[in-house]
Amino acid sequence: MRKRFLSLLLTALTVVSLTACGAEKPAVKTVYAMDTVMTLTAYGKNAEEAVAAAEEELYRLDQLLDRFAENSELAAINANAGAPTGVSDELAELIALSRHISEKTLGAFDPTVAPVMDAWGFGGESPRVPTQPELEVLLSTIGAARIVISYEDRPRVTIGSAQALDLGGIAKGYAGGCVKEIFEKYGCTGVIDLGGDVMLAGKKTDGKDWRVAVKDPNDPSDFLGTLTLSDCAVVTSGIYERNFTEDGVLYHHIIDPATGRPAESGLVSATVVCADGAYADALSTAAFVLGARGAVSLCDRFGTETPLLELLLVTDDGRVLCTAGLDGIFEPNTESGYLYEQLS
Amino acid sequence: MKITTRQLTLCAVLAALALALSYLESFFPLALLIPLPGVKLGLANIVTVFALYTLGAPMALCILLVRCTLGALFAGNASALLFSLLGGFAAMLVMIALHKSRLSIFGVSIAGAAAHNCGQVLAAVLTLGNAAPLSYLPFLLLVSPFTGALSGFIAALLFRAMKNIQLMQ
Amino acid sequence: MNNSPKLTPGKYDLIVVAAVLALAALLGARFWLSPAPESGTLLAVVEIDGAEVDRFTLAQAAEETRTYTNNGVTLTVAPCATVKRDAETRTQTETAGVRVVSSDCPTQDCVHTGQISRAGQSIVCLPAHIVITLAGADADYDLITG
Repeated sequence: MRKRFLSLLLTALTVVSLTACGAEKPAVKTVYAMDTVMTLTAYGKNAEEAVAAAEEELYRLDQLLDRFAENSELAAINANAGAPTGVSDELAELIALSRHISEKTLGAFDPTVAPVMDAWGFGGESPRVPTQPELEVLLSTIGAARIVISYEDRPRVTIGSAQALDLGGIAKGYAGGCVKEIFEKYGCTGVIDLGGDVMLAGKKTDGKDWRVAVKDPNDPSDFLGTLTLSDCAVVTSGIYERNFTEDGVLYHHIIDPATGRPAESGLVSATVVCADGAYADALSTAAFVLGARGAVSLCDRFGTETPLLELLLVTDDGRVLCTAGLDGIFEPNTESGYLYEQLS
Repeated sequence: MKITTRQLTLCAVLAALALALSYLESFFPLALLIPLPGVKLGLANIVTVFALYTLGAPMALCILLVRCTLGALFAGNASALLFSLLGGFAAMLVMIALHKSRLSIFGVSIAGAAAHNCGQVLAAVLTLGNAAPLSYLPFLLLVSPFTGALSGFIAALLFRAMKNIQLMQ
Repeated sequence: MNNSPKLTPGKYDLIVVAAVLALAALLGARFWLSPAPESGTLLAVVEIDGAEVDRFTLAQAAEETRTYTNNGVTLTVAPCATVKRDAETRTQTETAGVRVVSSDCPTQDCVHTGQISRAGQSIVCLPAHIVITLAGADADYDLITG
């Protein structure tokens, strides 16, 4: 009796443990960093370790890339404007990439736009509309071309004496890429959601692509459609993200570096799908500033640098424009009331 | 109630053993096999069950109290105390009720494990202030016959080994 | 006080196992069958500092407004009802979603988010580290971007 009882129990325990392994429950972590809330979801045997390592990495990157963090290398560059500041290889590389993207987007994306952003008060609690003379003075300081990076014993970055660097337009995308590498290192797949911008690592556990619903910028309870894809970043820049209204006018936070004012390009939002997170982030800002006509050229200009680069733009006259590469990936929501066209 | 020195010493030794077992089972990653919060092997219950049969209910209760308090103190986690106490006492009460019945040590341990899980879920409900943790109870109860049988098995081994030793003279 | 336990399992022990399993099945049935997620029933999950502190169905949301406090910020969550025409009773109110009706955070982003009514949508109050997400099995997408 005893032997039977025990062997029955052991068999059942084994069966239960096997079924428990079969049901893949992801490791989920919520991280508050880079001024937003991030949700990390990892699938795999080492999922718990992967998200723990990713959380550490996010805090590290937040410290590295936040110009308001005390003792951050970026803050040091800004405090030391006009003179060379020694930085880590990683930061130098990211600044170099930002400068490169800025040049290739003809200044539509520009990391030196920080003094203008500060004048508007975005990021603080009391945003305001700067006066035109104020903006004109500040505009003269903008220009990523003025960033100098020299490589001696260690990289040194010099910016213009009246300049300030802000990597907010590329940091989250870059961080998403770093976390994806961590997931891959631990053999995990999953989703990295950084305040609504997502980085997909691998495919779903059943081998299918992720289905990503795209929010309607004009109606948060509705969707423009669904993207079916894997292993890439989807980043959106839009007027609804950070804005304030004064005297009945909506001022959003995506500053056009040419005018110093919120970009008026005829777009409500610009979404970039790209294999590289940093590119996706920077180019979504650039695409928004450039508008539909200018954004098309981005695919040609950057196509050789990044394997996947597609755009989805929402115009202020009710149209959703997609690049040809999204054919078969993006399924429009036909009940949304938008006119869906191909971007060419 | 007169307590002999022998009984007191045995209590102390068992309490220490229970603490050590609690610490030991934290190394076994049961949560990987069965991903539920609060799922434990319940090895410390081996001591509880042993004390119950050997020393009687009052002593076993004392050992339990000591184990829970010191355990929470050593873990540095005061909230664990509520979980530990409610779980431990629920198990204790059920086992006291059943230990003189026709059940073998297995049945008593399994019932104790089930009661332990109920107590822990109750602690979670009280802590969170809502009924959400109750959704875990069916799964925890499904696991309890296994964890209970395991501690019962080990306790049976212990009794078998101690058969020829007169603990209480 | 010395009691010799029976060391081999007998039939009464199996009765105990059966009783425990029956209890598990009973509780399981009560839990998974009665507030049965009919297709479309959404569950609102509230997390503070990344840890879940509350969950309720939309129907339960209609029973009371809920308040959460963290990091010096207090916000109140209320249901959003829609009125449906019903042939028999003329009107029928149904909870379509939830929204943050008030908050004392500086930026009020959570209040401005308005109503969430679909699986995967969430309202975030960043200063408070509070996130309210709607979870539901029936969505035809895995996540939301934008």
